[in-house]
Amino acid sequence: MKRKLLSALLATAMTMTVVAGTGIAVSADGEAVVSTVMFSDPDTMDPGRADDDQKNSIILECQESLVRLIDGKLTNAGAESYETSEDGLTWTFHLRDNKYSDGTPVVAADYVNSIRRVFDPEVNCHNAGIFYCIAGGEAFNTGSGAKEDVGAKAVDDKTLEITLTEPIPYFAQLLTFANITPVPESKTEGENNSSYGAIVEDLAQSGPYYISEWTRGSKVVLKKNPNYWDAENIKLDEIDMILAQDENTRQQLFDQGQIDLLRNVRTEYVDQLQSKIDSGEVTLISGPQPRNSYICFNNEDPDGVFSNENIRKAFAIAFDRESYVKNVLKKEQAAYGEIPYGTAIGDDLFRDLYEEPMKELLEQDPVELLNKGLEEIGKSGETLEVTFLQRNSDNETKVAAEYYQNQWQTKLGVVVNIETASDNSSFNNQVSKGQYQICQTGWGADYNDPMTFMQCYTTGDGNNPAFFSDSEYDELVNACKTESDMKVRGENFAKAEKILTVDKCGISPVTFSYSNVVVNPKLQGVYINGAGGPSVEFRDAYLAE
Amino acid sequence: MTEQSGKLTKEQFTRVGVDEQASENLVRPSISYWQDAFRRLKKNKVAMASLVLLIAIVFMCIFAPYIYPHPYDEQNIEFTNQGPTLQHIFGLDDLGRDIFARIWIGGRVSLTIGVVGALVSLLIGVLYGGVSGYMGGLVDDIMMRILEILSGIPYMVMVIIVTVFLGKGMSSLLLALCITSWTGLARLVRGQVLELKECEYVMAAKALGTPTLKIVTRHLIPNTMSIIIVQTTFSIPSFIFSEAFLSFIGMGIQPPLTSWGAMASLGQQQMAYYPHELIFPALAISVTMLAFNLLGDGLRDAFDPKLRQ
Amino acid sequence: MIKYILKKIGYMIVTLWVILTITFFLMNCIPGDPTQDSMKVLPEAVANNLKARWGLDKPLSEQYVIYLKNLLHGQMGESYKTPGLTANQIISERFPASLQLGLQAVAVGLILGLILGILAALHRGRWIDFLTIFIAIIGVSVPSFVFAALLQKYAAGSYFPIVGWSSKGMGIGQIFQYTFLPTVSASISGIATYSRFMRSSVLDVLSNDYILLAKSKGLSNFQIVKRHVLRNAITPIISIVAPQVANIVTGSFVIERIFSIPGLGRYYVESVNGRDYPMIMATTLFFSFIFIFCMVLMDILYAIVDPRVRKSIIEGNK
Repeated sequence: MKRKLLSALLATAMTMTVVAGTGIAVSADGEAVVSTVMFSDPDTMDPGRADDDQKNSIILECQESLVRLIDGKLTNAGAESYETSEDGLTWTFHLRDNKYSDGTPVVAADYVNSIRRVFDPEVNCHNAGIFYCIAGGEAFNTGSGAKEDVGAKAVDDKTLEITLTEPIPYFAQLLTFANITPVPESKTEGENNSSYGAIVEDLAQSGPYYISEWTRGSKVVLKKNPNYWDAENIKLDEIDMILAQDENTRQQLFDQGQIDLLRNVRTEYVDQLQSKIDSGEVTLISGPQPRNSYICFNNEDPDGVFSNENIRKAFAIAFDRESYVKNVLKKEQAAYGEIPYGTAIGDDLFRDLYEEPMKELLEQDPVELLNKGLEEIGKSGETLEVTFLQRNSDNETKVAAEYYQNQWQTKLGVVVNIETASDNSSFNNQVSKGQYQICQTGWGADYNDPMTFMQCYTTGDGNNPAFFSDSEYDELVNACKTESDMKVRGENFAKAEKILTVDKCGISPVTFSYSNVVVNPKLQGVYINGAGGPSVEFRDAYLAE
Repeated sequence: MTEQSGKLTKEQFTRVGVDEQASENLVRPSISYWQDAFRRLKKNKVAMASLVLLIAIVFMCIFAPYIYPHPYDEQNIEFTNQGPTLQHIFGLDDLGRDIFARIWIGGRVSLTIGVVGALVSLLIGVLYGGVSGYMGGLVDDIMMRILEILSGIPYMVMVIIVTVFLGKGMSSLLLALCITSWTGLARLVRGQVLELKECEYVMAAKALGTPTLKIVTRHLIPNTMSIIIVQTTFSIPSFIFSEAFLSFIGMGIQPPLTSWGAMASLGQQQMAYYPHELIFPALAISVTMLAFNLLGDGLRDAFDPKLRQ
Repeated sequence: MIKYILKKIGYMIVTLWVILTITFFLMNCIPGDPTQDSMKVLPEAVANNLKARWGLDKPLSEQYVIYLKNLLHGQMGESYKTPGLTANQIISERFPASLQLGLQAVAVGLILGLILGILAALHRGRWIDFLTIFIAIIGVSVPSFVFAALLQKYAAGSYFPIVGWSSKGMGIGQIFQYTFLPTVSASISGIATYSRFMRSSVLDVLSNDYILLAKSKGLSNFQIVKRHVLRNAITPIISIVAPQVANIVTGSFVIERIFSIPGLGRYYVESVNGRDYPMIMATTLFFSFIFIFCMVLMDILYAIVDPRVRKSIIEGNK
């Protein structure tokens, strides 16, 4: 009986024709359809709450920011032009004649509403801190101010004025954020303020595409927005975003041609595809991403170990970054500084102008440094025992922890215990309270300026997990907040970076991100973004014949 | 045989008497339930082969690390993920550690956890289910409600709470493993007991005034033995995998020590490129499972009172 | 019977209340709070604002009373992580997919498992017996994740899509097409478990005298299985299946993740990790309800299958 069943099953499976496949392409009715994947299930489409890569990528395709990142360059989008006052505090934007997908015009008040919502405690925007440079923002966010006092106002329907507290030189970078894309106030009144973004039919969509279908936990379908101001130059008719949280699944989808673009693939997968890449069947786009990972020492270590500079240095250099990246991680690139490749300073890339500072530190002898440090803390001759806090159960963090453990134990002769945090919340809780000795963590750029990496380590910053504190560093970095001369800023950052990673060694960078994106060669005109903008920009994408 | 054919004298007769002790002697040696079970087990070739295999695995777990030339925590960073070679017969893992060496170190943890966990839940589950089913009524109701409550509270929450109060270590690991694992067996035994307690021999025992505990342990449990054995052998791999999960969230064994479950979880993530990192730990678990199951089958046959001759 | 059902409902309410009370207090004992989910640290004032909005600034006992009050009105609260959606909405939106997958997997698992188990017992020591042992061992020692990945690999480009789920308005053919691979992956461990238990249980039954009698009457093997074996061997399967049904219809994290099924599974894991208190409570309550419901069903099934048990379960034998 069972055998019959099995053979019947096999037979049906074999006679069924192959129907799936072909993600790309021109559908039967001549539409250009492209498929890609979502790495996580977006929980809301509210621009005010877009705080991760995935939500940004979707929202920025269906919303028009004042400025877009096109091919890596800031390009006026929602704003036709803008000017800055003499003191750099007042920014005036002249809006384009743009319409939402339902045909209503986009007005300056809609941008004002979004900017207010960034600080609205009810909205809980995780990026609020980045926008504290807007006058009145911090006060409204922390509950001491009113939303009317936020420094954004609509002069008329087509003119938006933003007032800053300080003339921050990288403010234009912040204009690419999804959080401040226009949403009419009528959509977010009362109860809707906290529930906006849950229902796709209620969304205001002003971008080149609009969300036509959203099946939670499964997929998002974007369609070309016919009311977009530049609709005639939008070449794709539909973008299907399929949820695939598992790396293996994503690769299968790409192998089968069901998706046309896959980001963040492993080196092993690139190797597997190499022959196709060589023959032009697959396009590989590789490049640095402004993101780093680093060994984080608790500079206020309750056990008094990593509060010592020499011990920190010993741990920082007692392993070979090149070998770690090449043999263990098999992705990213070794870091010898805090600011990653791909980070811009004005019109240049920071790393093109300033060398990574840590190489000189590596020439020292870690054991000597350790012994010196042990002497300083009065533990000379003892076997040092430290605990490494592992972020979570993720395989990557586990491998990293075991690698460091082995390296430190063999090269420094110390004992390293590994403590695993039960989950991310536990880890964040422990680290932010300083209940750890040493761990690995990382930081990704919020906007494209070195400040996004450097501000965290100023004294008392909320995102300073190392509890690093150095007055000279503070001075250098704070000066960059208002300094408009990019050359001076660059030098300041370079000096501060050396203090952070070499002189004081408050933290020790290990890797810079390097991403590999595989693309169907028929799909052209996509831009891969690092900081700011959607991670893949489809605005100018088209299908090659 | 008449009196005439031969003379019978009084001397020909000796008084035998009634030897009370001798009359109690049985010709066949008396065999208890347990002795009989072992006798039958020994005859079962498949079961004995499985037993030998298990002993061999345990032997390797104890002694292999002393004999094998590559230590389990030695990282050959230049050769990460290398497939099987003559030098490293099971290949290397993602940190270039010898998988053969790690299998035996991991086996120590996994086998201990698997066997201890299975035994603990066997003991608790059987007694709990047996009493609940046999007593019935209000006692059954209350005991089953407790079981439902334990199953209802989210496991992750319980595990984290255990670590908060007991810290991380072997004892909290065992507690976390056993906290709910016995409930399945308890339900199973209860179901069987509900059915069996209506049988005639149980009624007979009751009528004779046998104490409850004795009825449960003498009559009811032996008759559910086959199901208990299947459940227990089946629970071993689930303990092995639960341990992997718990180790992953920071309870239990600490790196560089490892376990089969942890190795298999790692292997899963690498399987598209380096299948050997999944195959060998999975094979270790499977072979052990196979041996436990075949041995379990043998035990089942041996312990089943109905098959007793 | 009505009295029995009323009693069960009463017990269920009490049990649910105990579960949710314990869970409520335990979950608040876990270190970390919902404002610490992200890597970015919120300014203290903002975090406090949020806590106040969620009512987390009140003493725990007061929070508990508020929660119970809302619950009596049928409100399980708004998820912290999915703004704009209440826990009720999330469950009603996500449950159907999990339920469908779960029921299909249990059905496939049960049918194949029982058939294999019976065949193995009837042909003990023959190849089919070893085949079931083999399947069972593979089924329990290789996690479903691996099967799912292998299925995806070998089904690639075939009739069966490797991600996605059936949606409203699909015909039976399409539903089959979309749900086939996930159902197979989710049913493997069931096939393994049920076949082993069934084999063992059938062997027990076969050694009974009434089977011998039936054989001597000349009943065919099929008749014997149908008339005598199935009914007598099924009780242990019922106690195994009941909790598994509860587990599987309320969502499977791994399978749903791999095949991108819009089910409930992820919320059990993510709500705890993210300290999304309303969702922790809602998923707990929902799971417990289904679980207890299955337990009641189990008892009723016992009674139906075995008349001897009816007395002790339904009528409450002291």
